[in-house]
Amino acid sequence: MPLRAVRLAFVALLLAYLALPVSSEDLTKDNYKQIRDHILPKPEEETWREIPWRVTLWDAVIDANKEDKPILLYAMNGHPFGCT
Amino acid sequence: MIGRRTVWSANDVKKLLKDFIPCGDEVWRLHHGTDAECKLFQMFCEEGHYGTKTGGTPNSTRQGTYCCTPSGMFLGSVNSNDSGRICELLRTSLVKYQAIDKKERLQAKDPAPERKNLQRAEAKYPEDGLILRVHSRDLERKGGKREEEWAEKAHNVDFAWFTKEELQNFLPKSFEKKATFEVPRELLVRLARLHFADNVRGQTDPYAVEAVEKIELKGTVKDLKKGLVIIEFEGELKLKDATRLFEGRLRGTASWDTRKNVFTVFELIAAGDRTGQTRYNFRQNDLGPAPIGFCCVMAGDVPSDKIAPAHLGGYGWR
Repeated sequence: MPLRAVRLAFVALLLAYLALPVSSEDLTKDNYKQIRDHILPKPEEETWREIPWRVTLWDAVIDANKEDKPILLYAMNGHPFGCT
Repeated sequence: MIGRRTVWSANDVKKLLKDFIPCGDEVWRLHHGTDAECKLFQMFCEEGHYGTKTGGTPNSTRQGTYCCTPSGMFLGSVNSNDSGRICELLRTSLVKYQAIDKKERLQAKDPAPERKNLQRAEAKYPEDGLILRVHSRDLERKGGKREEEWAEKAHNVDFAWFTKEELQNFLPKSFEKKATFEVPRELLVRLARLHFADNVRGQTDPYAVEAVEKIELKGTVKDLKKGLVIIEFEGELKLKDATRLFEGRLRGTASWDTRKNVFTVFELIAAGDRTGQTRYNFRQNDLGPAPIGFCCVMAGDVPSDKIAPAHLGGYGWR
């Protein structure tokens, strides 16, 4: 087979592979733990929680007024420590 | 969501934050609300990166990171997922803060008593209920194109609340081995449509009640030991509307302490295939079908575990 045809066949196969729908395996007793561990955050994804966050602006105002410190506010559409 | 990983996990940011009182909050309510907390935000946000004083419109988002004094004076702001830019904001804001007279930077009256007058969803937190942290993430793909790094790493979290009365629905009528029970459809519809919508890449609209085509969850008592009732859950769901679909299986486990009348363990996974997109969930280039999973686990007791569900309004609680 000429090199050009081989290349074309390879590209066609690759495109066909990429077009395949990706489907999940059924959630079973056997893969339950594996799927759970995949979804749950890894420790390195939760280090932002080490910061002593106040979860409302007013709680920060109360404490900042007491301690005479500036406030850092992280404000997002959807609470930034919940679903944002 | 990306900022949790790229900014708030950075050690140089954490070090600079020691001179600040750090907080996170939902911006739409602060921008549009009328209580003292919202009014304080509205005082300084107009001077920020998206405020009307810097070219923004009254209704454009005010998302971002702000520094201010307890009295509500603006120190600086930026909307960035770059830790270097946040460090710069913290450094310059601290210098400005120290240059302001103490009488101006602090509130004259103690702000604590005003807290009870704030109109916050967290006031509905069910202290003696079941509080779940609902994690969402794309599941491993066995084929198809790779996504960008931020998309492959995307993970989101929401909270699901159940009152003390509602959590009884996850228990059998009698604690006997092999006893089975069905969790009521009404409660499952709420859980599925508000908490199993594809928010992996960003908060999104919930499903309507009519979109819940199928939802079933059966519990079986697997064991009884030392005052604990061990329950396993199994079920199915299908959510479908004009722009998206999620169809999959439910599975979970729980442990009920009959002496303390509390769950000591509660886990529930919803996993299956999704297709389509919504207005905000960044799926325009990833319409699927592709696997997705949601994992509910019991939340802890720190303040950031007590955030209200994103769609608490859909609970119908008064």
